Amino acid sequence: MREYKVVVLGSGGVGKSALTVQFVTGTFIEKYDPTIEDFYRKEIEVDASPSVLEILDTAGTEQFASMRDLYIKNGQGFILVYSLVNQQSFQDIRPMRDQIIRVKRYEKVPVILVGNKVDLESEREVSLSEGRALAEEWGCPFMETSAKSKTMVDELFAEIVRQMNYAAQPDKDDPCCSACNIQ
Amino acid sequence: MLRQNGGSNKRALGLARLSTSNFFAISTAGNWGMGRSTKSSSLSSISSNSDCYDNPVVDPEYIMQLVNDVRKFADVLLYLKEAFLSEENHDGLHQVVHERLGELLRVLKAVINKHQTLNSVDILSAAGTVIAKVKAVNFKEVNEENKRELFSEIFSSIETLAFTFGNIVSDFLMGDVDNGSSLGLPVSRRSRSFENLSVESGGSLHERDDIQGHLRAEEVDSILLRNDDGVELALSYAKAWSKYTKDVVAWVEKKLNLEVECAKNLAKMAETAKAVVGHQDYMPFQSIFINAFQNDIENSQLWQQTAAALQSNKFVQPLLGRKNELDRQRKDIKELWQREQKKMQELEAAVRKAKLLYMQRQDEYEKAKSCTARAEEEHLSSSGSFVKDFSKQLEKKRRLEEEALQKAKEANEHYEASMAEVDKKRNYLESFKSDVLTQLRELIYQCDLTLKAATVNLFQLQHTQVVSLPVNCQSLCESAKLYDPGQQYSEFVKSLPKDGVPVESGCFETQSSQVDGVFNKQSTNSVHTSHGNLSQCSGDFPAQTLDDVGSPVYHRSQKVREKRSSSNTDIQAVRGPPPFRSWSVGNQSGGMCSDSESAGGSSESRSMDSPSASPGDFKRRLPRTPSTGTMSSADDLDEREPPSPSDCGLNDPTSETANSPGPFRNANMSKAAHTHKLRKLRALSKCRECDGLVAFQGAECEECSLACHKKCLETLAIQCGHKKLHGRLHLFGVEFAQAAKNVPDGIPFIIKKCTSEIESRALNVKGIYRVNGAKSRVEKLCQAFENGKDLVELSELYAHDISNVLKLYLRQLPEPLILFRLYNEFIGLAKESQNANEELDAKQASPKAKTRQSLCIELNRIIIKIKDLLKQLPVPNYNTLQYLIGHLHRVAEQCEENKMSASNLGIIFGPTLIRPRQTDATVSLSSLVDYPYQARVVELLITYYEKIFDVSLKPLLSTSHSEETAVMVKAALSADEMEPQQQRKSFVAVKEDVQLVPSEKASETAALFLESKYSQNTKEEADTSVTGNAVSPAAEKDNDPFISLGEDPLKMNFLPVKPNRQIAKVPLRAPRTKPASRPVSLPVDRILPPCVLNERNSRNAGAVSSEKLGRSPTIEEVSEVKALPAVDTCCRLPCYDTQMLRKAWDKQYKQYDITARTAMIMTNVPQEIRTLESGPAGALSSSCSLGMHLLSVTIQKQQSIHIWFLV
Repeated sequence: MREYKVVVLGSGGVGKSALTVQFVTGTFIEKYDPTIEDFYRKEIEVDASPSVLEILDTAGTEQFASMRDLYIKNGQGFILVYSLVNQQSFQDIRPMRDQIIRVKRYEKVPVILVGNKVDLESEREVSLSEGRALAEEWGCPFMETSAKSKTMVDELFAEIVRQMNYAAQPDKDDPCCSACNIQ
Repeated sequence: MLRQNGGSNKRALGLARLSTSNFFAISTAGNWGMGRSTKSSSLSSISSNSDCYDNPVVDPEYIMQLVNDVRKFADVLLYLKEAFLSEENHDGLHQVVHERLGELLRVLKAVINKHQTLNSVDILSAAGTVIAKVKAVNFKEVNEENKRELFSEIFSSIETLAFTFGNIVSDFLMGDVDNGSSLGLPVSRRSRSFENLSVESGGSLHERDDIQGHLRAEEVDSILLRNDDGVELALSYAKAWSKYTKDVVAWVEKKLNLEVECAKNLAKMAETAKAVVGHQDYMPFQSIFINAFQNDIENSQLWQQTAAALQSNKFVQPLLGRKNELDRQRKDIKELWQREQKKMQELEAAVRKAKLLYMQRQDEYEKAKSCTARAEEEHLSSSGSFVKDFSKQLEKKRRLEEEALQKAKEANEHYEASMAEVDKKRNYLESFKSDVLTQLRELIYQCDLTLKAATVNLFQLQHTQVVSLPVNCQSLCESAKLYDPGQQYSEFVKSLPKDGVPVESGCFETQSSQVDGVFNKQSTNSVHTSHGNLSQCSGDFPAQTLDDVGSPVYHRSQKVREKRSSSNTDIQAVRGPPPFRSWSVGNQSGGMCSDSESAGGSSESRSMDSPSASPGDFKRRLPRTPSTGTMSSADDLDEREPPSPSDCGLNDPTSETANSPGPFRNANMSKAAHTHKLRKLRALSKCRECDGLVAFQGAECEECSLACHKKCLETLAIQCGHKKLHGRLHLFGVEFAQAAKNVPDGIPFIIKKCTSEIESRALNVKGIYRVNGAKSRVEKLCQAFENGKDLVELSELYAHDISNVLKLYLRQLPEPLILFRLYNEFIGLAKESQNANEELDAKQASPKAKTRQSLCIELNRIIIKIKDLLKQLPVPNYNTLQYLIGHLHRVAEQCEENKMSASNLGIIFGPTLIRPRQTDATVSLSSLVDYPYQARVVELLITYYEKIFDVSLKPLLSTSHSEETAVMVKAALSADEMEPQQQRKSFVAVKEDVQLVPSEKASETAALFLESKYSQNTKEEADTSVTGNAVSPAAEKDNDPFISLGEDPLKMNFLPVKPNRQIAKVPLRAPRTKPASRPVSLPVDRILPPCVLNERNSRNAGAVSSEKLGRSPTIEEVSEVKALPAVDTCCRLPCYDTQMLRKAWDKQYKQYDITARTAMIMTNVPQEIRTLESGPAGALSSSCSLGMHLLSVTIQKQQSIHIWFLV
């Protein structure tokens, strides 16, 4: 059974923990406590193959930004979460992805862009198309979720597993960087 | 403006008769940079202050003055003219004329200076013509006959001047004078005057070029063609040119070598000096000298670069190349020419030979002819036997004659042929000569072109290499003038560690530095952090209040601060690592170097960095004595002064924009921008908003001389301080002690500013301090804080941005507020408390009073330890921490709305306020492990804020608790009692009143009782002796409750009175689920003075009235609270508290119809049971205390009533 190390990234208060806890326990946490770092483990079946997800729920608050390199080093797949009711959180996403690429030194890291809090449609600040455009630019999947109403949460984690499978297939031996593989 | 510049330059140079004027004149026409410098250097006699058009208003008085001046000018003109016409003193004429010319120029200058509107190129050029004409006259040759002829030109030029002047004046009086009239000179006129000047000012080597320039090329050629030696002359000129160029190049090369060597030596010297001087702290003018060294180094670099450029493609090489080319061509031409000449000569010689031959033959023929004739005569006379012989002879002679004739004819033909050939050759030679001359002329023109370009390059480069020097030197000079003697010494003394405080390494290092004079900055800094503030507070600003702002002391200290900040900047800029924008990065470890700010940069940009060095500033400061305190008035004065010529040069680019009044009326401006009194910027400066350079389109505040782009006015965040704006401050990433030094209480302004703004409007914003702000705006705000200090206007900014800036500031401190050395102890305590908490949680299911009690004792112990630890902090750190935690406490009190409970805030501020000393290994896993404990420390600080910081008087209280209290209060309260005004008393007043009140034993105890009954989590047994002890000292200390609080807070905790447990329970409709329990009663409560009771009594007495009883306060009060602006918190809260208290009080004495003391004793026991529901009540107690304090003011009289109630 393959293990997948998933890291959830995003700026403060976008609902990373809520998404993760919703996925792991099926409940929505009401509390608004900033995470320092939480670790979850869950078995799911994706495309008829059982997998173990090790999910690292990270701190969004910038105080802990220095730890991000550490998360990224250890992670295999990344869920980049922004809050679609907060434009700034969307702006914060781009540097995080850049950081992932920088740390991994590899362009095709499995990443999913996620706009959370889709239940707050009325307060939306980031449009669907904006999110889509960014995902297209990065060549990664994009979805809008809601941890509160459990919209697309399971799909999200299934998708990241697929992405990691997909990324692992072409060059299992040495995923150092695409350039090396070509040569 | 450009054109005018060029024009006036030519004039000026012509007047000055500089030998190199042609170069400059040619180059400046299109070269603004050169124009500036030459203008400022040579235009002193006739300065054209071109930026003074900003006074178009013409009043009658001004006109009168103008008329007078014009008349004076006319007089001197006439006077000059008369000098020429006067019949006598021919000998002294020269002197007289020059005297009068000087007079004329003086008057003209005065007039033009006075009336800037008359300052036009026409007048100046006309004056220049007059001067040139006068100077061109050779007075020795003057006699009666040629006088009129000689002087006619002068007269015409004088008349031109008079005419021009008259035109300008009349134009002005008609209101036509604007920039156009002075700028719109007809080009022809200008060039003509230039021609005249340059021709007359000749005599230099370059005059030839000039004449050639004025002669047409054909003329040159034809003149030379007419000259027999034309080609030779041209060739010799070319040779001379070549030699001349060689000499010039040799000189330039030598000079460059010398310069390079000199520059290298200077740079070396400066480096050495910098290395030595740079390490000595607290030396006067250190930053200035370091700046000077830096300037030297940069200059020498520049010189070397210039030299290299001149050596290579700018001067030497092209010139040498051209010279070689010239030499080669010259030789070729010369050879060719000589060959042709030789040929010509040969031909001529041949002609001569032919001629001679012809002559000879002719002679021979003549001889033969005469011989023949004689023979014929003889033949005729003899006629005899010899006839036959004779006839034979005759025949022979005739033959000879014919032969001679033949030969002569041949010779003649040959001669003629030669002649024709020579003529042909001569013609050819003529055309060849003209060809050669043309060739030579073109060659020389080309050479001149090259020489011109090279010379322009040379002087341009030389100009650029020195242009920054005067500015730098002047700025340094101005900076130096600002220094107060002894300032650095006092700084140094201030920074010394205070006696009795243990300094680990700092002490030793400082001492050693005193000995050998080399200061280690790092070490002194660390001393600063721990002790600088202490001494600062005790020494320099002992009783500095805001009222002192006007006092000279304040000014001086401010200046000192400014100075200090500037020197910091300079040092940072000069030393190795480039200055970084610490806020532009998200994380701490990797974040110290950002790419948004480049390193030191050019000398110019650095001089902008240092506050005293920007050109705009130093000019204005120039006339100021260092001690002036009223900056703005000085500014005004300066403004009226006509700028000096040297100013003029610098100001030129912007002066054009300076003439329209009220320039920014239409600009879109931010709120802060409206507070400024803006005018157009006059000098190159640095924008305080975006940090870029401003030259055009700049605005400047007249009062605080803030400079800013016009477009930046839209976003400008710095308000006008109505006094000179301080230089840029380094705020982020700077030692805390540095920032704390600037304020008497040690709390940096940025903290006060941000927290007060958040408290005023953002306490209920969800996720305040958690949610990120926009990075760009945050950076901008950081910049604004550095630029504008406390003048930054925050009201238009997003709360999240502000909170981010605050966090960023704290995070960027090199050492956190809770110093590194206390880190381990704090973390240890956090671990203990965590354990205690967990146990508590574990026990919660089956509450055993005993264990919980002990746990609470444990918690108490931890808190006391924290308190002790905090006492080890330097005073500014402590003050700031207290201030900050107080703020966070208030934020946490709103956690229902903003979701930021103490534990949440703890997580956010944990790593911000307390972190371990960062090793190079960045973030290790161990620090990850510590994060929760860091958070816990801060959480504890926030939760037990009052207890830990002994806060007796909390200025601001949250509403949420008091609202609940209000809910608890039933009908017993009257509306008028709730009027906030009643409680609106200063703390001082409270204190005084308290002291005045004769403390009544009964009321005293009751007060204590009352307070303590709210402290639910106190697990102490109701020990009578303890209570008694606590009560009696409290009674004694009553006169000064503040002291008593500080002295034995612990004891007070043991006051275990919970008489109104039931009361509290009843009104708490919806007990809140507070994550954090509040297990310990707060010491604050204890200080409640007895007067509270009095107040209460009076209220109670008042409560009798039916009107009050009729009201249902709950709803009304709540709504009232909401309606009140947040600022009034401190006023409105007490009223709820009092209600609550009163209520509680009522109940209390009703329930226990006994003395306070008995009540106290009796109620000890049940408190334990209530512990869990006590969360809100714990908070209540604190609010109560404040409320009672405030209320206590009003009371005294009703004591008797109170007693009555009690009994």
